[in-house]
Amino acid sequence: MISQLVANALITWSYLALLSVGFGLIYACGRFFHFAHGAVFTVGGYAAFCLVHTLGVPPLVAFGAALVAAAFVGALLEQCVYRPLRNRGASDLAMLIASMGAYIAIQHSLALAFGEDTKRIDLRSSISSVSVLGARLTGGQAIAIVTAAAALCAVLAILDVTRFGKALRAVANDSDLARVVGIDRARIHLLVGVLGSVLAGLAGVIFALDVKVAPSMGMNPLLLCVVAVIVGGIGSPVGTIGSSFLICLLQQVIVWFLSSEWQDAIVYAILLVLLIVKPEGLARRRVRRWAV
Amino acid sequence: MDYLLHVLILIGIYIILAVSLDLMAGYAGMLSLAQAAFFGIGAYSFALMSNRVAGGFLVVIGCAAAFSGMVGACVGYPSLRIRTEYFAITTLGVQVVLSSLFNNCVSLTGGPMGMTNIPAPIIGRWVASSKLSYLILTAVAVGLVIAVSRLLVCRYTGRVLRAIREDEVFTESLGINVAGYKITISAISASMAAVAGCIYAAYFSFIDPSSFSLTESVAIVSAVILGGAGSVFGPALGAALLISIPEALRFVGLTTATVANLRQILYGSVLVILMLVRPRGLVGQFDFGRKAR
Repeated sequence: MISQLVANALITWSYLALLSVGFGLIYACGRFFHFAHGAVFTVGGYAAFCLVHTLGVPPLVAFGAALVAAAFVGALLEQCVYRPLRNRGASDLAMLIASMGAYIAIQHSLALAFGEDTKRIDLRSSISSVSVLGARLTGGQAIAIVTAAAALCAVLAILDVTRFGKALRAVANDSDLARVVGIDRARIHLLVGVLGSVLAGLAGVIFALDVKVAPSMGMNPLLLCVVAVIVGGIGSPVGTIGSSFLICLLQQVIVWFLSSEWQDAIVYAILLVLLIVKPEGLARRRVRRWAV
Repeated sequence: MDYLLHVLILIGIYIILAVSLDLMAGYAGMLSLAQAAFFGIGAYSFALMSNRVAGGFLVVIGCAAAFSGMVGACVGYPSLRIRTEYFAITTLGVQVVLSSLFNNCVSLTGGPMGMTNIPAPIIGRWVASSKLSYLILTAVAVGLVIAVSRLLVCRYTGRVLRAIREDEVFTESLGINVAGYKITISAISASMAAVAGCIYAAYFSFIDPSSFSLTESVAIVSAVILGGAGSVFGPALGAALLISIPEALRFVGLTTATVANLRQILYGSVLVILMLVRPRGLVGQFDFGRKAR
């Protein structure tokens, strides 16, 4: 039973962690809550659905193209919304409001274009299910978990090794100082937006394959990823990966012992308590933005 | 004609919501994403109480407003430690939790199916039966809410609230009880939203959780920002515009589902465009876009 619980948690973790790490990186660099991230996630899912079902593109090519579509939307948001706001010296709250607006607008544009109904991506694949330590997973789910883990490792490596990763961490640490040493902040913001959006797009594709495609599919994962980023400690991708797993595990425990409709309420109630009691997050890292 | 009255009643309800949110967001600088939840608390309290509590409409509205105000005070409490965008996230959490309660306490709220047959308001011998009587009722409530808000913001209280918005620490150093003001204003704001909820429940005689969701909260924020935060008439103007524009779209021959989506696209775009172009809104005094000190 425990192994099945963990396996189920890992399935939701595969997309939640991808979404949260992207959200967390964008937050760390720009210090604003990128709610439209949920819309990028949805765009990824819809792009995969359209390419596979309407245009008949081979699945793997379609999924790759979905990541490109997500990256494009993310870059567009950064260039057309966030950069002008930042240049005008807008407050973090203004960025949050604009981002919320962008999320709502994109979600309902998708609903207008594709209809409100829930869709499924049917690959008609015959990958047999796998069994690990007594827990059963479908082949697709196993592949999703492995892909997500690989993508997360790649992101951690990028952050650690590459020049871009160093510049990103510099901007996240002290944006003004980063500018003083000659880092092109606008470029870093754009690249982080693209990187985060690719992760969100991948999460969207996994969600589309495992759960569904619907205009509102981004809302719930978005709400959970806000919790994951705050709980995991802002600016710590490893913390975010861990906290998103804890959240998924908690959800599965709630499903097991209580019922699934209380998942969101309990997760958010815990966030509220945490925000009030321990605002710096579980990972002991100081958040300088925190007032008082 | 009936349709026009219907739209006017809706506008009235949203004016109350927008003005109530503005007291918190525009004056005290506490942007809340949970206003629709308080709207819902009012509506569900009304639906639950109107059959069980004697004394008619006014008593029920009073109880609903008092209850919502108490919850509002609890939500205002974290604002003492949590500022600006984190306060917005906290209220987002409150909205999610309350939405979930509306959806899942099936025995109390009817769950996603909602509650039906909510009785019409009775005040003394007068029973609201026609659309016109509901419009009168709504107009009275709007008038009262605007009057109370004007009274609050035109005097000392308004200056204190604006001072808290501009510089909280400095305000506190003047010996002003910042905590008390913040908690009180969120309680007042929540009770006003509950009054709107009572009228909504009585008018439609049917409620379900989708009317009190996060999307509705964002719509209320749009109304405040479009009209302009930090003024009483700005949000009222914003609410009137944001309700009437989508209603006008119906006459172009679009289906209800299309209009519903266009409505949300309008609300979302309003937020993005105003933040980019005119963060203080049409007639507002307070610029959400400005960096806080």
